[in-house]
Amino acid sequence: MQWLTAVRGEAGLIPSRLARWRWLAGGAWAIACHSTVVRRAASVVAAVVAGTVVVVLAWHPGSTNPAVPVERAGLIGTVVLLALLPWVLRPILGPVASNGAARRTRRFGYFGVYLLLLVIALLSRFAGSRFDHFEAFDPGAWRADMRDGAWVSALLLAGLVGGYAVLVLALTARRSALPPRVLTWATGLGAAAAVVLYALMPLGNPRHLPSSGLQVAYEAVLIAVPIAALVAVGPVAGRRFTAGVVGGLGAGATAAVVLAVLTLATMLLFPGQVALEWDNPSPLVAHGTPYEIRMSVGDAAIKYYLALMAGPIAGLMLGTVGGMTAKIRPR
Amino acid sequence: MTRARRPSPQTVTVLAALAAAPDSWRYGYELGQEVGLKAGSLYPILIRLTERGLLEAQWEDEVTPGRPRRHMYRLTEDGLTAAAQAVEAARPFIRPRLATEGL
Repeated sequence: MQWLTAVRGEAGLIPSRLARWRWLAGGAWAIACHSTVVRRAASVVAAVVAGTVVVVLAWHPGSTNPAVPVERAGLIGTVVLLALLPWVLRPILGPVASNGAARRTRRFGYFGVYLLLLVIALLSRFAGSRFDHFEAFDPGAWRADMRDGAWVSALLLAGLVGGYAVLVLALTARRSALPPRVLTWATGLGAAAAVVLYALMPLGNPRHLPSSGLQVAYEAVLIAVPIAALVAVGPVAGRRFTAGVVGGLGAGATAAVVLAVLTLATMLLFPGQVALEWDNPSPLVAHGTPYEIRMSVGDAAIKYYLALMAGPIAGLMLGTVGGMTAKIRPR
Repeated sequence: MTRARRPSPQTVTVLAALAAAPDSWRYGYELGQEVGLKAGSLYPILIRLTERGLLEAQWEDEVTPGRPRRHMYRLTEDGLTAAAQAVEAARPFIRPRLATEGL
């Protein structure tokens, strides 16, 4: 409060009204941003707004699918988990590390986790809408199966998204943060690898090129880019073994989230362009029905869920390889 | 793993301006005018320096009707040492600016 009074005290001596208001506004804003109370309040507001947006956009009204209420409850639970995790982990990990790289990574990382939750929820809604008014032969058994499956999916989603949130918090917290240089390189290399993979496979399925030589080169790049990026973290970022290991983990997680968000969002925007992985075998039925599209989009998305689970593990393993090959810098 | 953070060029400029007259109490607006910083940039620097014990602050004695009392700032002993080190470290980067200020 004393700093606000100090700003007001100076403002009284500024002759021009406009300059006086600019001084007051600039000073008040800067002091508010510096205030821990205001920053914490802003983070609570941001979590509530982000969570509300995700839940509202994925609400899915009017469906008779018994999985929908369960998915809704799971989504609300995940949103609450994301809002609580920073507060729960703060006594263990400490506040955000006092460097720009950690603050930026935490801000963008948490935003990325919310985006991930949003695209997964929207895709689940899109793919699941094929059961909106589904008539089963054995409705009782079908409803029980759908509900059980939805609970498992909701728990998996909470675990997956919550795990990424914990990783973002841990890699940027004062007691466990990566050094700024390693953090910057790890997230940068991970995001760059994801963008290249997305450019090569924007709709979730590999392309089929006309020449076999091109096809081999295309597939080689698909495999080599993520491996090279994850192995490179250690030698490039820290030239230390631990930089490779933990940096690789960060790079793998970043790559998986960025790739999943970009690709799942593109699939949602252009579902008709996603290759039909499943179609009706009957020659009498026209292909490309909404049911087939929804099922194919859901099937194509599964590999990105798997990548979200495997990305950090692959990053850890390849980062370890990179750390071992790094030229150790003398302390 | 942690390193002492190098102060920003703006912080060095504020430290240099305060160190130029170490015994004088300085006012915020006047200081901002001198170093070319607006309130939005100046006050975070003043707050940080105060929190680190490099700057002492007190309210002016004189009470003027119609406006709050003003805050005055002066470097502490630690602040003077830190200012000398920061200016020295930053000299290669901001030599022209410091030279015009006679430092």
